Amino acid sequence: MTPLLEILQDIRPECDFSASEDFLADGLLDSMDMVTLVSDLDRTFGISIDGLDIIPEHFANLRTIELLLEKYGVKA
Amino acid sequence: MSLGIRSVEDFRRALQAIKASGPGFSTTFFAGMSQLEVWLAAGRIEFLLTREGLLIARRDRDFLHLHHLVPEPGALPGLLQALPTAWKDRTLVADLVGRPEDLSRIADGYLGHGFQEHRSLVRMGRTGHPEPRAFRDPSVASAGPEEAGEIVAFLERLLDRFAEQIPEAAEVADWASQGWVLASRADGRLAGVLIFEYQGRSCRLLFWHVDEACRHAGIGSGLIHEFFRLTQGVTRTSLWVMSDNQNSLAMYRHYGFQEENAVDRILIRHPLPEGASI
Repeated sequence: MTPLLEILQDIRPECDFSASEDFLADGLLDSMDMVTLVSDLDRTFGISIDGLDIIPEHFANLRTIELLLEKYGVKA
Repeated sequence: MSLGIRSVEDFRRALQAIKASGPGFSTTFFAGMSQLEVWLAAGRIEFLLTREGLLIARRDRDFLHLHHLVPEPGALPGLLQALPTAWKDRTLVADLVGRPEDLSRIADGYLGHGFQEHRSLVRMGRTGHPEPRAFRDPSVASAGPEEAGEIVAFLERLLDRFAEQIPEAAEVADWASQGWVLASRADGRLAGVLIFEYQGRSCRLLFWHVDEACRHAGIGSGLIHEFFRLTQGVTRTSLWVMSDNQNSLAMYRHYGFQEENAVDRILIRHPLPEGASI
């Protein structure tokens, strides 16, 4: 399991993130989970995701989160 | 009181600055920007921006919901120290939402400033929906927007206004116009209400309540089965329930919902008697 999937599974162990293309629409993440996810990504990868990057589009699926992390120099 | 924050853009700038100034960003404000815009336009929300972070007060009936944004939890006591007198003269309610293990330090910040534990909720969820039963309860119907006021009065009579985010009539009217409000009537009187909200392909069950005088008559069952029928095909349903309400927890488990690792600790601070201090 990749570190990113591990973080997501830690937040919502009951959800299958690899099977969804839109976490928010499918009910796998809500706005509270999104803030938790940002904190966990910051801590795990030693980055500080910009407040302006905390928008639903960046947390839609594994690929969009990976692209966001790449912006901060992280290969997840 | 809304020092420096008059628009969604102002808020986003403050969020960015606070998030960038510390290693452990913490917030209890999870509203989307469109919701924030509505509150700003209605004048229902005020801000206090300090060096420690941002406090947000949102008017709800006779009390204020209090939210914070701080660069790290250690900044919270300093921020709460700056609570304006006009806010302290009202009952303040803080919803601390998240994983239980993440909330202790934040709760300590509030508890040290005159807040007390009030109630707590736990999130439950389920994937998909059970097959709806063939029988449809004829007493259950979609409510129209014109019933919104009566439905809000019904919820206000049954629920804890500090803990259960009772909606305004306009919100209920909006949900009703989309077919998301179900009502069950007995002899013309409202006996039960169920309100849900779609979010993409998932939905949230917001309220499901039956008048105490009408319990054990199948009204709750009629409402939930109609809800299952209307929302066939959703990927996931979630809800929040009082963590000490064993009957509700058992009922939701019966319908396939499971507790998740997310809680809402509701802390409350009533105005202090004159001359008292913390």
